[in-house]
Amino acid sequence: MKNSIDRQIADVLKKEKQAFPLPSPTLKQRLYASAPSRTKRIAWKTMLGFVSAIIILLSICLEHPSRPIIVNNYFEPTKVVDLNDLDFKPTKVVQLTK
Amino acid sequence: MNLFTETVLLQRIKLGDRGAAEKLIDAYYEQVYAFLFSFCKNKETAEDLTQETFIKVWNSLHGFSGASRASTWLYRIAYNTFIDWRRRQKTFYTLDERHDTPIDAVPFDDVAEKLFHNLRTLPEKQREVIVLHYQHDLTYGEIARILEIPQGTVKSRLNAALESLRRSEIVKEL
Repeated sequence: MKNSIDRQIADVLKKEKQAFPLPSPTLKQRLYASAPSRTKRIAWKTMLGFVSAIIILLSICLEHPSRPIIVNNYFEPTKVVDLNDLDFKPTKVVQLTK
Repeated sequence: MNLFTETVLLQRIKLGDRGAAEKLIDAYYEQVYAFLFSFCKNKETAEDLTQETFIKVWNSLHGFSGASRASTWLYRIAYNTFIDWRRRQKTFYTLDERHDTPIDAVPFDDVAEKLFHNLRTLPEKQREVIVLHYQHDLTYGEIARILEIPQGTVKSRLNAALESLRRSEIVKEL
């Protein structure tokens, strides 16, 4: 009895399965294109590296927006400073000789 | 496809071997589609869910531990995709309320047609187990992994479904 039920259910459901409409074959082709590939992995890593580099550069620039690049000082005349006018005491004094 | 071939294929897909991915699609596309169609009973929906399932497979290859067969893993992803889709539909419906299967085209005799009708009137959880076992030839263990329920629950649902069918008039005729 049990086997008979099993067999009948299996027959009915298998017949139903055979009547399922077939999927469109073009969808399979689209899936092939969506599959992971080595080229995609490399491209992804390159992109990731590029974006990281830009983020690092931007963070440096934003962290030190007014970092001076002293160029003009090379062209300014040497100033003679009285040591007593300074707020700090220099640790080393260099005596300029003519 | 045996267990070893499946495992090797998945390893190759992980490394970006597109040929291996195409082999996996060729081997399982129709099966996954039929599996999903038996749940949603609509061609377009089953096609969309099949596409979604394989995209999820590509994205979760690292999560495949090899503890179960690749086909079981695929079916589980497909089943979860179906559950997600059904939640998105807002309107909950049972497996019996929507069906695009051209039933008239199935060459059923009277007894088989009555049995088919009785199968459709089973509670959804029992019907799920019956369909997976008898239509897709999945074992109790595989069904348990796919539905994420204990194997004992699979057996009890299957027995309850069979008991219900036995009590029906149709089975008395068998």
